[in-house]
Amino acid sequence: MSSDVRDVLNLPSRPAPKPPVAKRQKTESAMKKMGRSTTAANKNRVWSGFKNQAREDGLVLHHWVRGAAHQEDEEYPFAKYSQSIRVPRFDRQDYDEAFADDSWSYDETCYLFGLCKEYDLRWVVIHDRYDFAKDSSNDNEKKDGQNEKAEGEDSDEKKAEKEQGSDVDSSDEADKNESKEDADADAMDVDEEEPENADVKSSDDKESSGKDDDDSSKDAAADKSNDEKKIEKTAEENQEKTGAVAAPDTQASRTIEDLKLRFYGVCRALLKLQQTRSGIALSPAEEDLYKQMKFSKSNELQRKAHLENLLKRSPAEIAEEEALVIESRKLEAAAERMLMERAELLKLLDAPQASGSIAQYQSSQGLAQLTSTLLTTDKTRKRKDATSSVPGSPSHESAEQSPVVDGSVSSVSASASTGPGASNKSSHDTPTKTKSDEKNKGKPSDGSTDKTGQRVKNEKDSEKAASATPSGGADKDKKTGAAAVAQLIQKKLTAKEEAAYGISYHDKLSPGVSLRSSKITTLKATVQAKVSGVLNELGLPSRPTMPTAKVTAKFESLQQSISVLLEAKKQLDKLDTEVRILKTQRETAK
Amino acid sequence: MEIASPMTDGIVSDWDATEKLWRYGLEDILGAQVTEQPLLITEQIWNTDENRKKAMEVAFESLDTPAFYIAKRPVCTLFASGKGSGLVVDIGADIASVTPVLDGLTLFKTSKRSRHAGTYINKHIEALLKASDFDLTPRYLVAARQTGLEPGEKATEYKKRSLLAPVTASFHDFQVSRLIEEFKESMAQVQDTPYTDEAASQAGTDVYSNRVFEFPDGSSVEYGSERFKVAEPLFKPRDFLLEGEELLEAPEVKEEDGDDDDNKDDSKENGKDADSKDKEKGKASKGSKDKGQDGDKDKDKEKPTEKSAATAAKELKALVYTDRTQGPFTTTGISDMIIDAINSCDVDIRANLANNVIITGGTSLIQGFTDRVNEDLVHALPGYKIRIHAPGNLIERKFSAWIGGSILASLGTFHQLWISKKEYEEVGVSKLLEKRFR
Repeated sequence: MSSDVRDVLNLPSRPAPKPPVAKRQKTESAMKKMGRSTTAANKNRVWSGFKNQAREDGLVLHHWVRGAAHQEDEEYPFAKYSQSIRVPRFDRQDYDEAFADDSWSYDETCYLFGLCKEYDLRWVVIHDRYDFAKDSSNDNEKKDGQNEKAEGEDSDEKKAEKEQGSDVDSSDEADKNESKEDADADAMDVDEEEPENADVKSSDDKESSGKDDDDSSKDAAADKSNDEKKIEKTAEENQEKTGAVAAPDTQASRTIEDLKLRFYGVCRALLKLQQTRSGIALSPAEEDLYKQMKFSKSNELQRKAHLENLLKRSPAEIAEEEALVIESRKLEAAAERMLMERAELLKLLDAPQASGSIAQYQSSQGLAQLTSTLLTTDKTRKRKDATSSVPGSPSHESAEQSPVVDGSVSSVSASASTGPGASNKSSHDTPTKTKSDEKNKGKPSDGSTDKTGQRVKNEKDSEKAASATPSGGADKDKKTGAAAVAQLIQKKLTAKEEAAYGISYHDKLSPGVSLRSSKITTLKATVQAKVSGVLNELGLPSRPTMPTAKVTAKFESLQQSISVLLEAKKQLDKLDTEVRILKTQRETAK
Repeated sequence: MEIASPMTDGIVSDWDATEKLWRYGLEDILGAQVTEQPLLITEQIWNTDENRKKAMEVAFESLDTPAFYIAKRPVCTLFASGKGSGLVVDIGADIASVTPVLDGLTLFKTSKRSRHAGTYINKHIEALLKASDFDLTPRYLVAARQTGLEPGEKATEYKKRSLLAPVTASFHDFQVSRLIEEFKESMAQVQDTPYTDEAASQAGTDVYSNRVFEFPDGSSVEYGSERFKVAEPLFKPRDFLLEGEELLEAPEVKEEDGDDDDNKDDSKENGKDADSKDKEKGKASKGSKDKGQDGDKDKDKEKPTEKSAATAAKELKALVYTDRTQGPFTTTGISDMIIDAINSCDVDIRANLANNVIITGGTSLIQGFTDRVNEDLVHALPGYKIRIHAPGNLIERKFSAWIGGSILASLGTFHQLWISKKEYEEVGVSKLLEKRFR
């Protein structure tokens, strides 16, 4: 817009230097008016006229500027903000061809587009100002007046042309020509298109056509008829406003959605028309536009209904909804916490990965060395624990050391263990042990006496228990700790999972380490030999090759039944012989 | 000396007086060169085209300003508080109006207005004071007040001022109305909750505290719940009818199918011919502020009981229901008007409006007014976030439209909107009105 104006006015397109900020000028001039001494600040200010290029009449306004006065051809810095929206244009032919509609006359469509341009597609405002019936009647009236003042209209038309370029008939002009030349036909149009409204309309139209006939000769009469019309229209409006039985006036009852639907529908139709006429496919941008302008009235209505419902909620409903939201937040937080706890638990259950190679511990020498190092660290720690209670001792050292030791212990135990359940066991031991350590720290005197006894036991067992957990000390603590862990685990694990992880519970555990195979009950030597014979017959070894818990239990029961059966056979043989002896005795006695 | 207001219902009705006022203000007080300065005036949104035309004529032909513009008051009020969109609640002397504004454009169809504003409250106060049997002796009649009176005691021996010349009725009425307004400003108050007689008697003086009002003659009266009762009609006009005021349910419907005799065209002054009649009527039925021409009417005002019931009812009806532009005024209270206005707007802008409620106008300075409006809105529109903007400054509250207008006129982008003299001469008034001030 501004560039157009610049072209028209033959202005250079270079930007002008910025004038001083308007606000200061205002205060300055206000101060001057109040008679304060502002000479210092005002010394280099001049009262200068300026032109705003967004205006077309060359009005010269004045304000205070610092420094030199405005040049004649200077561009006004705010002129560039005078922008208006580009609304598509169309003419009667387009209308007939592409988007003729029974409920939307050509004039009304033009009227709608005019409003869209004027209010920059602010639909709420457009809807507020939309009053086609009234405005069109005003138009008619004005046209009568305009015939007299041809001048004003001319200039207006020129202006319109300037704005539009040359290609298409302006809606304004078309509108004007229409209503000027064939107002009668126009009236017919209206009649046809709005049959429901015919009674009110036709009288109006008669009046207007009559007025057209005698043209401006009877201005007063025309005025009067117009007024009557207006009054009638207001009456209609009033009726509508009060919710009384509104006249079925399609125009007055057009909703925002109707207007939008029409506008975007016409825009789409124009795009399509343009395409078919020129034969050139739509550019991607236009294609986009075409898609965007698909206005769904039902969707829009639905959206508004939803919004309305949302806004209509009662305080109770709002409170309830808020409560629900808070509740759901709580649930979400709880779920998250549970997930975190579960993840931690799973981490505990997972065997820690062996960090170093275990080759060095696989020889008996290596194992012996390991045991001794563990014992020494254990010893030093105990000593430190004992000394830590003494004031002034470097207790932080132990705190520093203990995690390191724990780490090595747990990794060692994991790597050293071999049985299927052993790895789990050892991993359980880790938290248990730290717990016991904490306990020991808490009451060092107790712990030291307790532990010395254990240490002896430990040393005794150390050779045998090389493969078992080195932290086997702290029996008592372990038990209580284990119970706690078992309880913890029991809560979360099903029987199936327990079986899968090889977890089992014992009422009483004998101290020290033993092999499960050694726990198989041994029978009396004579019986044992016979049982072994039977096992041999069955093709089983005398000891189970893979003594898992299940196998051992089964083996035990098998052995038991074999021995019972053997005993039974023995008794049977004995009775048999007795019977035989008695029989022979009776025969001899006979 | 006659005293009259050139404004009726917030729009100019006496152009001779208005022009003189403008000249006095611009030339004598401001010392401005009107032939060099553009002129911006504000108007209520129900201003008529005739009035705009006249304003333009006065500006260009009589004052000879280089440029001229008419801005809408609600828009200016919004600008004064730095907003472009919002709901402007303007409650002045004659008219209380609620206008939604979107991006500096007023929405006519959803705006509301009523006559339950300052002048209406004055009538209630007048009725109250008359009922309590005190003479409304205006200040100009009192030379020295009687001292040492207990509250409730009647001043009988105050010193009267001897007048050099008889005063006109309009002067006297103006003085009486000043007394009433003094009462209104110092005594009237509204509570957060609606006033009812029962509630007032239950709550007692803790809530409805007593205050003493001293009349110019020296007598003073203590008022308690009455102070609240006289202001409540702003919110519940239907529950507090004036004597002789009859409640008309949707009067426009009744009168629609009508013959055109005089007293029935209250509701459809839209047309030009009806307008002049309305002006007369409006003036006659106005409060004490702008009467003056005809003395007999004024006498009627002072003694409403002597009037025939029919005339009184008619005048009251005219006071409450007449509208010159768009159908009748509503009979709802100010809060209900706000709620109605919000609810009648498009659902997309309602939240924005509710969040930008601007309260302005002198009558909004009644104590507790803003709190009460807030309370009512929060109660009635629980789904919205209500935020009320009411400048605490008295000047800002009373003259917000002027402040906004001055802001508007100093904007660089506004200069293209001025109507220049050249434009006025070339394009013509009627076309300008249609193009620019629709």
